[in-house]
Amino acid sequence: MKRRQFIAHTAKIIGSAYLAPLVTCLPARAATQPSTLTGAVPPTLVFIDNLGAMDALAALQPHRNSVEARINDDYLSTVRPNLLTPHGLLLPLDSTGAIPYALHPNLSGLHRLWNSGNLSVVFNAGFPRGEMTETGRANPNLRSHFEQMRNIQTGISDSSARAGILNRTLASLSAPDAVPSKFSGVALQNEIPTSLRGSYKISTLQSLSQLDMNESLLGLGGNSFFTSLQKVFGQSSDQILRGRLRGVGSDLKKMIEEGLSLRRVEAPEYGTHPFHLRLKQAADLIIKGAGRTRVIHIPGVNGLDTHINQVTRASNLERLGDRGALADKLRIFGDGLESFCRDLSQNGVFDNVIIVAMSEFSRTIKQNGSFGSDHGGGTAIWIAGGRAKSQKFLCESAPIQDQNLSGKYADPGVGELAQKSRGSDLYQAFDYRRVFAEIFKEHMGISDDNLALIFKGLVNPGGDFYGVTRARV
Amino acid sequence: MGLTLQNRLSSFVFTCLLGSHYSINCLADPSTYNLALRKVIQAAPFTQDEKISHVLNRLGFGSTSTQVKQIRSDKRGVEAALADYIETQISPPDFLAYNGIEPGVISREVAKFPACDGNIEAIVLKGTKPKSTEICFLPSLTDDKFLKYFSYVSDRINACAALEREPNCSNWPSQDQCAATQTLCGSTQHSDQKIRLARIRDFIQVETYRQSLWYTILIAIHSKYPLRERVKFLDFNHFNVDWNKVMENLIPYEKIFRENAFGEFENTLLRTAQSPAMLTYLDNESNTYKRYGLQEGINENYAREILELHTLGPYLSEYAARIGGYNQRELRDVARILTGWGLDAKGSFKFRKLSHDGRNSKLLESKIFGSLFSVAAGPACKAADTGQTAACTVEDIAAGKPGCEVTDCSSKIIDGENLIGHLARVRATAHRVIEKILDHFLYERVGSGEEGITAYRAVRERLVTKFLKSGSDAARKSHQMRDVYAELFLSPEFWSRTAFKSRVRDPLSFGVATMRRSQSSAAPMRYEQLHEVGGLFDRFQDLLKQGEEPIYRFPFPTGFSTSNSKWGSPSHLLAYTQFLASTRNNLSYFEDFATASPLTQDSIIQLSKDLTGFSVSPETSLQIFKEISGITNQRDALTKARFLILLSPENLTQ
Repeated sequence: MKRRQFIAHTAKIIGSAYLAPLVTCLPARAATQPSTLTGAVPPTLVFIDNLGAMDALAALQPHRNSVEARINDDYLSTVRPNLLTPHGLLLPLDSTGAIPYALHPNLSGLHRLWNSGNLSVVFNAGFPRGEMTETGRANPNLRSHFEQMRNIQTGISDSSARAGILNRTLASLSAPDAVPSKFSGVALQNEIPTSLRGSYKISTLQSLSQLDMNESLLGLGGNSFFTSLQKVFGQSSDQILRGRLRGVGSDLKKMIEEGLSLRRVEAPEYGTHPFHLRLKQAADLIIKGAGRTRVIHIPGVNGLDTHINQVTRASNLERLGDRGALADKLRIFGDGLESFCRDLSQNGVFDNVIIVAMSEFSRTIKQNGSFGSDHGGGTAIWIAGGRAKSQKFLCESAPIQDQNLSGKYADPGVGELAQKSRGSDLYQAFDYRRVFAEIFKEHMGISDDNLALIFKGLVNPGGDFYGVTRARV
Repeated sequence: MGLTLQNRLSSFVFTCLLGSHYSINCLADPSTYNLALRKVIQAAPFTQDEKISHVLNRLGFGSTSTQVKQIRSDKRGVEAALADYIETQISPPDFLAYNGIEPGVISREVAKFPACDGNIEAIVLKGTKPKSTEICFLPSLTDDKFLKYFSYVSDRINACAALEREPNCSNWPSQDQCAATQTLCGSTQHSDQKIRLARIRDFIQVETYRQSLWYTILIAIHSKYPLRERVKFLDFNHFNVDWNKVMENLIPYEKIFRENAFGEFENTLLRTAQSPAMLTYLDNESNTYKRYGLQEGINENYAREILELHTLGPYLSEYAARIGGYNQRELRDVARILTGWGLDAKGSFKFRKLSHDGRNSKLLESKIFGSLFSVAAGPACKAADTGQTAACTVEDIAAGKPGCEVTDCSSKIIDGENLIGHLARVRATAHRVIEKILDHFLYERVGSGEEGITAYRAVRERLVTKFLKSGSDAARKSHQMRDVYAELFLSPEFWSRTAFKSRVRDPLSFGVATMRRSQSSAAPMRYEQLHEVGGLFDRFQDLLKQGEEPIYRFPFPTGFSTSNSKWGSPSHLLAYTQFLASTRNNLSYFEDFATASPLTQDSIIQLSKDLTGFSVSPETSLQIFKEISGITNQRDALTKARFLILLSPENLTQ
């Protein structure tokens, strides 16, 4: 079965002589960090859901440092000429040419994280294409954003309601480690995302300012208005109302009681994009929450679904990957992640945090007629943070032109879907579940038995890891 | 009483609709539907007040005390009054002929603003933020002048930007155009001009959204047909587009749903497919056959979403024989059939036959779409028409190269129309659309318990049958969404305890209900404060923003979630509280401090009746009484009591 070879680059801190000195997001080992919290935080996981399908080949493009990469580059010049970025602008991941991909210039934030040893990448990854449902059926909704993102967040492809993988993880945290707080699991949006759906009670917040429910807002005398409101809710004996608005009263009470008021170091510059604001809120939660928060789900950068005008239009075969809509989004993504890491680091809580960002799938290798690309293919998983393995890069080594569904690496068992796909997909060599299983086990301390429940159907869930986490300091 | 003209009109029509006997509407004998409704309402296990509350909440944005009083005092009984109300709601007069609001309200509001035509540049180019008195009304809402102005400004900006990229115009189609643009954009003051233009465009864009939302909320507040407004919001969300991408096409797009709220689903589907908003939002405008010398110009974005979101949906495993779903090849074929559905230079729908891929579709072999084209396939294009022969490229056809002339294959648009007609009447679509309606107007299936789910499925089957009503084309044409809604409101399931107050009030409904109540009180809302920067309307926008109900600006084609689990959160309570706090100076009922004596539990109940028409529960009134008992200032006590009433569980469910 060893028909594929993976390239795996393990930790190798590179001198990066060809790069200017960079402001890096140092792990909290640096002793100069002022912090109100000494023991840092328990293992924490931040999941960034980049719904919309980021074009992985734009974020990570083959460069010309090796023969293989040159072959890929030549091929891509013919099928996605405009979506490519000029070579000179790419940010290489090493100087030897062993890693055949380089970062998009607007991902300089991620590049700095990589250089400081706080980023790993699993390329050609995604939700398995084969037999994945409870009923043993092939995943039929391979190219649907919403279905596939839901699959990723439940660990199985079936439209039946199932608890999300992050909720199951929270529920199976071993007892002494578990913190029974309303803020153990938080989604920074108003609706519970699939990943956090389930029996374990979690919180949704659109912004932390929602916790500042103080009297001054209303200018009303007497007791706190919200305490009153909470009591009115607590009093209702109406069965239906109790059913419908279950827990609102106690949620309010907890919020008032748990009001997060710890101090933190001034946050670094985050930018004004909503994604940046959400990251800052997540940092607030981790830093001020004094270890209450273990899992955070953040909606990622939107506008990644670049069917049209992924790049600025032109009338020739010019490489335009550094200009246009996607380039702007990549900048927002990379800079945001870097600010987030720096913030956690300055506040002394970086060591025990892992951030995973991924899209539901990638985009077609070929560009379409609208200077964009359509759905499909293996995506890139970004693993950052103090517990992320330093500079690990995993990818499929087969030439890209052989990677589409009709090529020699065609996936068996996909049936009709394996029909010639004119969009041509990047090969999917890595199972995203193994990335999460490793983080759940090595970082969060979830047992193999519980892993088997979280990822039903995954063979040997507690092993065969890709090595994207590093040992606890 | 000193009623305004508008209020008098309102009560006249209302009385009539509720069964008094001096208007043409009321002369006819009750319909059989009406009589059946009365029976169902009669039999419902509800108190009278609950019946009224249920109807006003489900078929509208909540109750006002005036409405409740009118229904309660109807001589023929509450059932008859409610049956009339329901019948009127599902059969509103044509929107175009009669705006669904008191005549003159919108135009009176609009008249308070100067039109933007002449003075917009002067206002915007001052460089300071326009004062509220300077805000002008964008005529987009009434005519197409605005569209012209908007595209004029945008074109100039784009032309200048293009010139900046290529100062020598090397790749431009014509040097004349280049010279014209150089003149337009100027050389020395180039960047200055660009900044000025961009500022105008930004202003227009922001105002388009603000005024579109304002317009739609004004209608929601004033309309005598609030059900149509609710259906419109539901349908818009089903066919979601994002203002950020469709801009000036938003209002015409919204109209589709208001005009067709109770019409044929097929019609709605076709109109969205051909709307500039949807063609832009999901890129079908760029879904073309061969372009720019690349291998193909298929853009499958719209094709995917029309299948997955607007009609069939993904595979469902609920049934033994699964429904919905499609495979990648079918998807590509659907995209191919829709090639050429685009826009003309003026931005209206156009079937561009040169961009259409007229090859015979493989869909003929598909299980799902099997018999689709055997019914009414248009005359096939000859191979040469679509550039299929090696000798004819699209460019050859465009240039009219001998042997590559286009003969008439424009009727191939019928393929797309057939496809849409087909998609609109298959079971998977019916199932999907009906579930959305039920989740919204009955109760949510998820979490409704075993009995609740069984009942839900039963009513779903009945509505799906209504939706699908098979037969000849003529019979199908007569079938409308009105029948579906009529059936729903006649269902015992609609009149069950499971359905009563089963929906948590969303921010829009909360805001509109609040404003409607103020509107119907003796001293109507002060409109001059509505449109001020930072005034009532901006507060409304804040409410929607904080409550995460991003009307008209949700980026994903799924539409935003409207499930109960989303609305009943502490952060919503905070948003609602802030809305009340920031608008209380604008809303008349917060300024009525006539109750001079200290509040008692009884007067709290009376306060609740004055606000909503209904009393809060004894537990709630007792608790509110306790909460205000320590407050010495009577006005503060009264304000806090009103806040707590409006935010009580009774009023946060609908």
